[in-house]
Amino acid sequence: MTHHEISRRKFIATSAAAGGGMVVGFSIPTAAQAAAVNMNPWESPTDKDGEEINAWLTVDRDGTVTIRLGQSEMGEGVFTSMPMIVAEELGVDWKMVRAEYADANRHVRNDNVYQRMSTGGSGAVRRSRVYLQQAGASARERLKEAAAQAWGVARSTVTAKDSVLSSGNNTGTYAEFAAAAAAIMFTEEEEPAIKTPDQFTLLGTSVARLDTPLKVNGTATFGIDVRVPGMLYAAIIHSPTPGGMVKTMDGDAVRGLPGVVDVLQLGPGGIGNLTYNPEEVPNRVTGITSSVVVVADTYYHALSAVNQLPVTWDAGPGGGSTNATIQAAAFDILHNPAHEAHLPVQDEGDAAGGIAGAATVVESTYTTPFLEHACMEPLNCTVHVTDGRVDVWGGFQNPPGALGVVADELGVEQETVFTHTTFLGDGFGLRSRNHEVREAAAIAGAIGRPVKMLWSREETTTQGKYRPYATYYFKGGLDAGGKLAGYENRIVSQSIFFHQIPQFMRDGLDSVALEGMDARMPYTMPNKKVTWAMSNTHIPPQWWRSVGMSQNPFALESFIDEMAYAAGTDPLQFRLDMLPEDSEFQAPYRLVAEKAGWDSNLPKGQGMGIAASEGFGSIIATVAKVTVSRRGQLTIDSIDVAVDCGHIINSDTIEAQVQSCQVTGLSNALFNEMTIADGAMVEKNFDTYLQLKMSQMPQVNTHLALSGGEKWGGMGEPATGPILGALPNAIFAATGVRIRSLPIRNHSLSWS
Amino acid sequence: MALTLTVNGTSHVVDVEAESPLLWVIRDTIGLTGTKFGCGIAKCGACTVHIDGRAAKSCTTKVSAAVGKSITTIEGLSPDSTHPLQVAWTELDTPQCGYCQSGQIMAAAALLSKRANPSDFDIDTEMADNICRCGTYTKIRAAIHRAAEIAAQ
Amino acid sequence: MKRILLGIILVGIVGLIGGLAWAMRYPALDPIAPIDASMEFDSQVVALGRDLAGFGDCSVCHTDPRQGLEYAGGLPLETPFGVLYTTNITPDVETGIGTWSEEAFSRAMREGVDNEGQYLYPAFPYDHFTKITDEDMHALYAYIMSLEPINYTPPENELGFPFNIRLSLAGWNLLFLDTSRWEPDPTQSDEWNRGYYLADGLGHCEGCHTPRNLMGAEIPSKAYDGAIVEGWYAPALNDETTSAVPWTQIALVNYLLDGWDVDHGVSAGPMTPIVNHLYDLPEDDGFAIAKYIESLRPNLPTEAATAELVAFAAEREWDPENPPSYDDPGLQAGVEAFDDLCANCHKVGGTTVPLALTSTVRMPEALNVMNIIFDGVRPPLGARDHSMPEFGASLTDENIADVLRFVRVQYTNLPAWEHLEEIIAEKRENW
Repeated sequence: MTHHEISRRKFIATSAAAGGGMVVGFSIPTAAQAAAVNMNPWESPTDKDGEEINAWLTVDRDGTVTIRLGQSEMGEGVFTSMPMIVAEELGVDWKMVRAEYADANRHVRNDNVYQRMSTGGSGAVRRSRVYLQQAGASARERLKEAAAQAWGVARSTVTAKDSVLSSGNNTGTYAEFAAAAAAIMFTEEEEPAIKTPDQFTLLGTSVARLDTPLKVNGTATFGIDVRVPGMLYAAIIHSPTPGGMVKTMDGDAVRGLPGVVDVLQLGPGGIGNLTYNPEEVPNRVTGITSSVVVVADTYYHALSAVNQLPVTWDAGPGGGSTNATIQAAAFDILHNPAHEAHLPVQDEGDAAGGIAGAATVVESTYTTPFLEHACMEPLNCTVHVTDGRVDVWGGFQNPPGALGVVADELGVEQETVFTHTTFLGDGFGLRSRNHEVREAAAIAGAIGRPVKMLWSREETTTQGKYRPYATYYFKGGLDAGGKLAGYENRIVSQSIFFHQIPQFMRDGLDSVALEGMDARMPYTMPNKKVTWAMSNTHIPPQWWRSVGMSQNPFALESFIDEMAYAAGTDPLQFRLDMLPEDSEFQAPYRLVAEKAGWDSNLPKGQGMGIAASEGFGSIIATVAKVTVSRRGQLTIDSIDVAVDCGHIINSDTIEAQVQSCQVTGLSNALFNEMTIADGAMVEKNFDTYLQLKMSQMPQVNTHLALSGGEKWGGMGEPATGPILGALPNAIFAATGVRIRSLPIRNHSLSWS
Repeated sequence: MALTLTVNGTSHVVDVEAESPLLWVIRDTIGLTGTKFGCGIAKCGACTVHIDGRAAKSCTTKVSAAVGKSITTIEGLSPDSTHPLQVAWTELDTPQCGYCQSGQIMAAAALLSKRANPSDFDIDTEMADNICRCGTYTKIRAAIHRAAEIAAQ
Repeated sequence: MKRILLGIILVGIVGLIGGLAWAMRYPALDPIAPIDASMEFDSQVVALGRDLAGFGDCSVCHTDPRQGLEYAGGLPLETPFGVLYTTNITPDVETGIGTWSEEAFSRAMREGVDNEGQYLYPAFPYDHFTKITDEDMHALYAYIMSLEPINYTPPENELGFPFNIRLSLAGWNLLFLDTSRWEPDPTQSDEWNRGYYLADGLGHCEGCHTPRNLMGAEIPSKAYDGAIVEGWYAPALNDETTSAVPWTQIALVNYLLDGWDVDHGVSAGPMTPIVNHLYDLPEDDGFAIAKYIESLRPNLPTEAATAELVAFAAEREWDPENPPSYDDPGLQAGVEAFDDLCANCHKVGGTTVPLALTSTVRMPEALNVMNIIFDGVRPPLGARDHSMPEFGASLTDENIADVLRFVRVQYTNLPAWEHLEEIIAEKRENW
């Protein structure tokens, strides 16, 4: 294998598209040359010879416009939607648009020039649309101004469309005036107003994804694909129990194995600034579990050696815990209303009195398990440490965060760290904590050569950060007319905020744990009392696609259904009766019911279930239709989803994200569960941590209920929640079996 | 040991242990990274390649079992992304994150070589061992039908 | 050699009974004008016919999956006598049975003669369909005539002399065809009788599960003894069964309708299209078939014997912490190959049925396990999470033989499988 000397910035070894030869250097295959996105997305798709109008965009002499995006592409479509927002204002011919990632190093050096470079909270569009529009509009007006000055006309007479400027008989291209425009500065007052949705021409249409061509021929570079000349590979095994430490390790036993370069211990007693639970705050998990690492010439050698490495572990404080102990701890609080851990969340009217005077009382307990993200691409990171500069490659949901972690770990200035964000093989929240980045930095720092560290699937599944366990107790009273007279809800769960961003806790409450359950609940309840108690474990919690909405709608919407049946009221009607006339939930509920042909009186064995929730600024209502055989075989016949995200950017993305959220939601509802034995995760791979397969994918129908106006909701996550309620409700309608704990596969659905 | 592998029509002499998984030889030794690692136990399909025209999970295929055979990876499916599946995949904007898509396309290509005009049911069952966590299943189904149409033209 | 001998016998039979056959030849029946099935038949009758066609698995044979044209035929059936291609039974006037009267349809179904009076080959199980009631026959006709006509001519049969002489089948029918109608057995329950009717008549289970004689006819004395069909072993359903855990009615319902039972495993091979047809059919009928099949095995093992096998299965299941080891290098090679591939899922704590309980590893033939290793398992409709990838391209023939030998020794106390190299080589050649 030989390596050509190539420029610093472009020294990723890449492979040819066909023929199988090893090609080193910066050779873009023919098919990718016309591509709008480089296979290495952190690099520019074109050899730019043009002018940067502002940090967001450059215009080349051939008219190509390169737009930078601050968010990371993990399937949600930002490589297309973000440039569309800029292009809408810029008035550029879309065919001439190219896209690349913004540079996190520049972001750090230039005072957060890209405003927000993390990807999460379904916020790509809703949190950056305004400044992206502004960037496009500003560039357009500066191009106009440059033309106006050249032609000696007023800027107001210049029009900009499809990359062409014109005024009277004068015409010119953006490329001609790019240099002049770059030199023009606007004061804040001179900055133009941005378009309103009624003026959009590109936004709201269906635009082909710019990254698709790279993803049908294997050329798109994911973190795992990064190859750096002279690179070594690291394989890692962590303490099976989160928070555990290495007790003994016999590195010499494997040093002689083929290809082994070094054996390292990370964490206490070993290298790296990796500590777990070091805090003064008791019962708060931060940091990283200790691990052992083998560095070798190939990943296979590293993996074989680390699997043979003799190591013993001290399980730490989590040792001995099981699902049963975790549930018992939570239930001790949940079922004891006098427990001091319960904190008031909402207390309106007289819940206890309402229930006491009720004709019918419904009481239920719900639980949801820990979940792992199951990203298709196992965690990995590649780091190269040299004098004065550190390069880091990986699929980062938060590149500046990764940059900061590396600087901190290696004790270098942030300005000297260069992150190169690849495509992400799923994120779902997992790729925002950068723990693997810190590990990779520590390893590469110790080895002194570029190192790609890759977690096996088993490590990725058992050493992740998890969607927390949660338990819910509900009690509802119905009056003689079947109307809700009183409602009590106690929630006991682990807190993500407490572990990760404790400063976000308010009055002891974690608002993401309470999504949809507190005042944000859409239903009007005259007498309502909600409390929350934190019950933490040694298992590190983490954002998991749709966060609180990945579990709360299951409990709430199932219990609402229970009350509807107890009241003898159609479950849809029961919900509508509790919605104010002007509720934003009215339209999605009514639309989805109409489109699905809502019918709560299907023959036994068939059923429809309905649920809705609001998350990330969008309201989603969902109807699931199922058939369950007497022997308990479940078939999901169809899922209808009504969406109110206010406005749309790329209509094709809406449908894709709705389907995507159904897959996440169905895997969650039907299969996903991390069980814990002796403090460690039992499920290690896809043989036991089951995911929805093609053969289980139902028909999903997406219906738009856009309310427009000021509403700009996210779409990456919110459609995950309602199916968690709609599906169990449909199963109940079909069978009479009420699911009160997930996943559904733990329950027999047989009926007679 | 030195083994000779034929990948995408090109012969490669690789110096690896006979029991090395084909996946890592293709990715790390030969440098074709379009074939992905997902699970290592043949349960996700991200590593699907063709060996003598049949779909195989390269993560659980020893390199020695592939010696003397013709291996095709996503990079060799077509020289210029013009295989009917690639055309259909692009037309329908099938990928989301894209990570599983090489394996999906290779599995679909093996399916089409067995059944030129597969039904939904054929697709569902033949593709059941290729997981997509983004949930592109609906589009994959449509893209395979579209590819069958293109191939028939 | 066998074929030639068989041919001589058959020619002899033809000679002996030729005159008789000529005497009892069938007339051609008048073609009918194309009918508008939606006007002609009650939709409920058509729906009944659809269910019955499902039980009869008509489309399993009368569809070539490579073409995807349901009921248009063209599926090659490998028989000892040559290759037969199934016929187009859509109501296409030119290439299907669009001109067949109900009388012609019924005659074909029960007597194996087409509307021209030509004998049909008994790969078409008319010897079972004789049992179908008139009412059901009418419903089947209504359903078939309601199908979308497909203009498709299947390939010509590839049969050598003398099998290409259809008249010789007169002799076959004389010897093996019993056209007497079915009467319920008054000593059995209604459920059993319904099951018998569906399984032995329409469902023609015996067609695969009963061995055939040299002339391709089922051997009545060996009914449900198990047989090799299409490269798979259709297991014994009677006392000859080797299943570890007895097939109860509910286990059979699970298997027949969902394709999976927790004590026996998942369906595979030619059985999967059958269970996929049964999946959507009336559940009561599924229970009836199961009742009948259950009764085929009157002599159940003692509970203690079953418990012993279940304990054996648990003890032999692969423990990743403590994998088995064998002194025999061949078996140890099997251990290693199993460890690389199979043990990722087939292990203690996995979600699969313990291997020692699966019906396939206990069968007298290695064919099914071998086929599954080559081709994997496609998930049945009722068990969509139960699939297994194909490993035929990932393993050498030697690897596969090693795994098979190891599996038989590790997971059963039954005699070793024989002819592994031969069946693997044959499979590979046709793969």
